[in-house]
Amino acid sequence: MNSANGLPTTHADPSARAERLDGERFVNGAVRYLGDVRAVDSLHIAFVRSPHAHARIISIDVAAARNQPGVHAVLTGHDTGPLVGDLVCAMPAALTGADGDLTLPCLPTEFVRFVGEPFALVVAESASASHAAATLINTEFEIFEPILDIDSATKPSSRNQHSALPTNVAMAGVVVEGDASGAIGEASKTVSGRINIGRSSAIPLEPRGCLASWDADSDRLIVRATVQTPHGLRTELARQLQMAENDIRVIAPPLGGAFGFKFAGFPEEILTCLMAAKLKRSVRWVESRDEALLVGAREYHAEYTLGLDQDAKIVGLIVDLDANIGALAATPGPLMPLVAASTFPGPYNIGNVEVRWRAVMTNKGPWNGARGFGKEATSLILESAMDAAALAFELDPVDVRRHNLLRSSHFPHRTSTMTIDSGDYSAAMDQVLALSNYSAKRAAGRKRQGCDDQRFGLGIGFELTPEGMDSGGSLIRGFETATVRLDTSGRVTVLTGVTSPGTGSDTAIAQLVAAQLGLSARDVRVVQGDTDMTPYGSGSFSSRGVLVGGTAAWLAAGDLCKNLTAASAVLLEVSTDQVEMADGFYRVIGEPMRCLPVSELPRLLRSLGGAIPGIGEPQLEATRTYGPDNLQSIPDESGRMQMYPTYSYSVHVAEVGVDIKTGCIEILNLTAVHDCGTVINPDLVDAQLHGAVAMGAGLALLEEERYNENGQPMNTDFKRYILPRLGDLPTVQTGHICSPSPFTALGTKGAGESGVGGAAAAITGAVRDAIQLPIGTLVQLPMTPQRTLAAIDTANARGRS
Amino acid sequence: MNPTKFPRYSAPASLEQALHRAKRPDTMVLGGGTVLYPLLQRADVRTDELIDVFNLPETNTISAAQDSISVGAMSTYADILNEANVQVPALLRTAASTVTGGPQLRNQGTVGGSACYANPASDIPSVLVALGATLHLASEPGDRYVAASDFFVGPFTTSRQVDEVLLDIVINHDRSDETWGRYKLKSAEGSWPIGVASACLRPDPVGSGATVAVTLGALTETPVELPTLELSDCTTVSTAEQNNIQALINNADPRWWSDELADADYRSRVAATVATRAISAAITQRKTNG
Repeated sequence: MNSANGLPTTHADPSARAERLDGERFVNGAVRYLGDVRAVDSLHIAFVRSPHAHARIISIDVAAARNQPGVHAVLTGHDTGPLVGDLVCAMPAALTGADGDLTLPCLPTEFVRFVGEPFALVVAESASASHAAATLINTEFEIFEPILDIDSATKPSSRNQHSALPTNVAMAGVVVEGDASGAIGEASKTVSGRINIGRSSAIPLEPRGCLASWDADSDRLIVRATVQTPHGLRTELARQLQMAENDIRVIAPPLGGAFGFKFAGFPEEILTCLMAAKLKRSVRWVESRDEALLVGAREYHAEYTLGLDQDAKIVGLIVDLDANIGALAATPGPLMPLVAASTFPGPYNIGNVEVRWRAVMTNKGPWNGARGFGKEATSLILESAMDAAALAFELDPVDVRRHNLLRSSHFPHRTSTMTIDSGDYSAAMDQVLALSNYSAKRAAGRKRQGCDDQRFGLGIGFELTPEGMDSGGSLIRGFETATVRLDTSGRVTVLTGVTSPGTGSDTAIAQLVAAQLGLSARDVRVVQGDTDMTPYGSGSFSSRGVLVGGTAAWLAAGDLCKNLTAASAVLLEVSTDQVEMADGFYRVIGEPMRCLPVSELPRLLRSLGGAIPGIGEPQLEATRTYGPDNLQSIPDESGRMQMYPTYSYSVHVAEVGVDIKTGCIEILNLTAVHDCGTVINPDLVDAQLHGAVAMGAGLALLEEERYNENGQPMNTDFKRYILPRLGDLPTVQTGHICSPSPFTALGTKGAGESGVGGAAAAITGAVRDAIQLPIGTLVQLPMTPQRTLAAIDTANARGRS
Repeated sequence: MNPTKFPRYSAPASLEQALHRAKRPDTMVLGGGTVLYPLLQRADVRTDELIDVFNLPETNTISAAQDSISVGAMSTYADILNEANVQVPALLRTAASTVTGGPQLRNQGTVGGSACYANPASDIPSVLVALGATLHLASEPGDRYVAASDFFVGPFTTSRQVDEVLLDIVINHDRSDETWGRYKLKSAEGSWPIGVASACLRPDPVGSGATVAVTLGALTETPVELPTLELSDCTTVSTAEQNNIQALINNADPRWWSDELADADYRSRVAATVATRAISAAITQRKTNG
């Protein structure tokens, strides 16, 4: 099934299948990650990190470290302060209440705010020499009691974590639609509950790193860094090091996963570059796993109240959402609670909504982004509320959702923060129920023969995933630029401002360009992640690589196709409308033998352009910038804003077995149905969905960064921070719905992020179902065996009473 | 966090050389390295010299005697699983096959290394205690043979002296009338064991009953051998017998282990379940064996 523009429109279309272009290189180890790149004479930087969660720096004695052999430099915040500009936080002043942007020094001089915060650096001949010297730095601290939770952070007596803010609430707001309090007051039934989502992070297998060099030939700074946003990093480097942007080249090597963890904004990359520029040498930093596990990305506490009419139709929703964002960071991470709040009420048709949210600073590690970007929290809270409503009405969880889901006829559907573009939620629900064999599983019940110690449960989770974020007023924008260039060997090079976080989105971009020009995707080379080569771009985030990067390249390739068609017409001695492009040839319609192969046209045009009447100067390169519609960066007359143009979604069913004697949970089945509009490469989309579901399983059951009472992180390696492995997961069954977006050129929506929250919510619901957790009981993620046993006790106690 | 200077490395070719080096201060004996290398990398432990005993023939063989077998301390989990000539006790094979980690770990991690590390939350210590194994320690002053139940004295602590090298582990052959069952509790593939139990089932020579001896591991600071339990029917564990198991555990009053993955309360709560499931595994195994 092909649409008018010749693109595949459904997942089922086999013509859309294309092997990932660089897949073999990743699998056989030929890809060179940042850690594989070694400059021969590079120096190594080590960061001296705070051993305390919260302390005042009284003095730092660096003399012993400076005197070590092989040490080239030892700097504290007092030294770096005059050399490098502050980090600037991404949070809008309107939401922080501060007078302008919040800033953070690259190295603090007064206070340390979390265990692991860098407060000095050492550059030496080797990594071991730099670390050895770092241990010789003698620092005197005045240690304060750490603030680890929101209640302590928001006490009036609590020690302030940022001098420009009056309290430790870094950012707060209310998302309002209608009159939620009024509606709930008049509702025939109300349902309240709480859910805590534990602190976790995105955890790519490859941590961060930076190799900065000074190129004496050109007097330029050359930076290789594991970033999703190379142009964004270059802009910040230019500002902070007071250099011109064109004196800096940032290259992002292939990434071993990113998921939001590799947004710029932390000090390490900037300081590595500072030292390279200052010493005119190569300086290298590669993050260790325990350093990577200092970064957080989630920790939410939510309370909800639903008001429902007698038919279980929700009339009002109030949510109080608190995020413990740890120490303030200049990454986009702290924005996630804002996105979480703005995504309510998700896929449901609720006219009266009030979400009061706060992002609160504590002495845990700072946040960076993580897949879901807050939307996974929205899904977990909403689905938790739906499960509670189902219990209150003694309905199947599917039915209470069906009553309240938006219908296709509602789209586009406007809320105060979103205009949901398109979808068929009911069809997606039908498909996931059929694929998962839901009815039969439901009929099988909680107890099964021969499994005395196990209880079985089914859960369902819906996730609305707004994608393609545009942040008007910042340099992180939703549009993207691409240049498509034909060479005389008949091959194509695409220069794009989007980067690949390891997803293979470059293959889909190649497919789009190849389809326009009549070539194979293997004829297309996609160049990404190099500020010297590609147009200024916002990089990879918010599932935008194909959505905007792919579309810009597709449009540029379309311009080239027009040029080639016009030139072919002249060479074939017919009019332009008599030429068609198919199967790698430009041919005269109805005369298949009169044709020119695409592969030869660039050479012909280059040699004959301007020399043959009718063929102008050869234009073998085209550049286009594309951004989707359906955005509202500047508030309209009623104050509405909208950061996301497309609305992908997924719906999940999970079946679990809970061991009631040990609290261990086995995931028996996972099914997911996904809709991201037009699909360019179904295998890549499926692979992303599988990955998201696995992350959701980790979030629901395993992953947590815990701290002891002194604010020391406890989960510092993969033996203590448990990720789901292959054996923990069943084969994930997937299905697809295709509801093209009316607001994008190709009908595409963001693909890649959706599924974390929906899968986690389905698993959570399944466990609640298995152990019959009563309404109103706190749901605490991850559901470790210990917590699950406690929940079983609660359920049993409630059952007896 | 701070990988500092790596220690010297030596791989003596003879036991005499190895024992001579082990006598020096600030040396450490290296097993498979799956624990020690990461600890050194993170500077969580420091030493001047690593003594790799891989080259010593004494540590590298699995051999059989009349009533017992000897497992060289450097035998990897893969060596245990691949051993074709010597009949390795079923319980040790089961433990080696279910150790947390993939092929890399099974090819590199050693039985002797795990014994000497004495991590409460690991597989090998309680298996050696359950099997009544004897650990053969060598040092310049002379050799010592220590029963496994005396070897594990606390979390990460054994009765091995700093100058002693574990050469091999001597284990009596399985008795023909006994069947072993094992149960391992963990929350995920990547989790270390939160509880393990080994059960040795011996049907009574007369009648349908049996006796069963259970050894607990990972739940407690050191492995705990429970007193022998009587089963009235060797094909099932009755509710009353399950209560007996709980009573035996309560009487033993062990020091429960607590770590990042599970605290002492949780471990004490699930101990009887872990023990019961090990007995059930032995019963199932006996049925399978016919």
